[in-house]
Amino acid sequence: MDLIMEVEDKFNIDIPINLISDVERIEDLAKLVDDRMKGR
Amino acid sequence: MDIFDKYNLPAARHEKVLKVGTDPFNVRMEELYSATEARVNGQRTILVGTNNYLGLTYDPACIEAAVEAIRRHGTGTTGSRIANGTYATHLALEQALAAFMNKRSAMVFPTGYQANLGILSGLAGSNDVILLDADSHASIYDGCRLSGATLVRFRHNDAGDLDKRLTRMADDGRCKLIVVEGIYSMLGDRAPLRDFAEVKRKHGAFLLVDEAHSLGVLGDHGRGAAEEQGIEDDADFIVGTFSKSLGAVGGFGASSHPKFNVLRFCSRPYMFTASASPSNVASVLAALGEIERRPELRQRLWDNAKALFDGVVAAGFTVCAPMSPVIALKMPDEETAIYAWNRLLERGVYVNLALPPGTPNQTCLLRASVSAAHTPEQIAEVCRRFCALAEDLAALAGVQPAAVPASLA
Repeated sequence: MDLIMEVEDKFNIDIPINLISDVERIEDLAKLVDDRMKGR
Repeated sequence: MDIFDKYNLPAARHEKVLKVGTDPFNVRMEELYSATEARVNGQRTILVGTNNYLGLTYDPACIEAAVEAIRRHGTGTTGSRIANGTYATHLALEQALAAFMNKRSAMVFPTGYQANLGILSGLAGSNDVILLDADSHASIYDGCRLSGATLVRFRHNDAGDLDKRLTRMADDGRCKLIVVEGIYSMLGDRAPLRDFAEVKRKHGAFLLVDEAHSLGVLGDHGRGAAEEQGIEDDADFIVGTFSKSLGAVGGFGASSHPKFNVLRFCSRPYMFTASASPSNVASVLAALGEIERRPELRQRLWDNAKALFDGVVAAGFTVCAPMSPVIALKMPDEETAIYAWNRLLERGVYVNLALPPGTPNQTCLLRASVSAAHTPEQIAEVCRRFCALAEDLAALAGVQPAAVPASLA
């Protein structure tokens, strides 16, 4: 949970916890961050 | 493949805990002597982990009201609030709760957990956003998930972080509901509600305050943290429970929003469960009256909280938050926490053991909660036993224990 908040701060995005359950690997997190930054 | 395989890891952890002593998650209160003492493992034990803040579980007026209600209305309603489960006493309790909380309406649920499921899932939907404090209780997380809303956590008690997140989602056309607690259940720390209210006003969001551990505990009238911090008008929704200061089981939501009562036929956890039993409703009504009639109960609670807080600090324990009726002691690791909890229980003191993942920041805690029903002598005795525990832990770690204050020797 703290890691997610650090990522949110770093990239100035919000990652809803509804989406976190789909994150199993680092590339899933990277894609999620990318999507959130692009506003998708 | 077995359907329970997903629980192999927590099951293995539980097995490890059992090897040390009593199962902390299955403690049997063999006999209750009072609000503050029970027989546990055959021994008279002082209870310092009950959330029975005002000791009203043994209040004669509450007991008499419950007994009379069973005689008049039976043991249960056997129906939901939208069928045959609304009695005059349910309505009387809701009116009394609304009046007590200075809100227009209140809805009663059979448990506090269900109150959060029902209010949160009723208020928010898939087009809304809920921003919840990261340290929220499980019932809040579950109620939020049930709503289908977009859920965004903010750093615990951090109004600046909340403000930043709301700024990011400004002008997206969605309703925002902020959810915080008055006193947080694990550490006993308080939310800075004035700061949250300011952020709520700035962004035009709604604010829900869960007063589970603060009702009856904070505020000149015992209405909770919103009253204490002067932001009751900003708290659009209040959720509370009956299983702490009110000494029973159940919960409620309260609000002055003119459309609040639509939840009575739109909130599934309200509609599709049997209503609160007549005896619970009656004892809570009586307990509300006691809270209003006897403000000295709150004073006694805080006197006991200070005495225990000062005692455990003097014994050398690390406390996790400023003084409150919930006093959480940080343990260095899981093994020490389990060992300490068992040693305390052997010495006739019951506290809660809290372990990750159910704790903030993955900390291991001995969680104590005091009651207005504790006598000063009981609190002093508990402090002495904590001192003895500190000596045990120091010996285990090979260090000198803190000097025991003369008053506790």
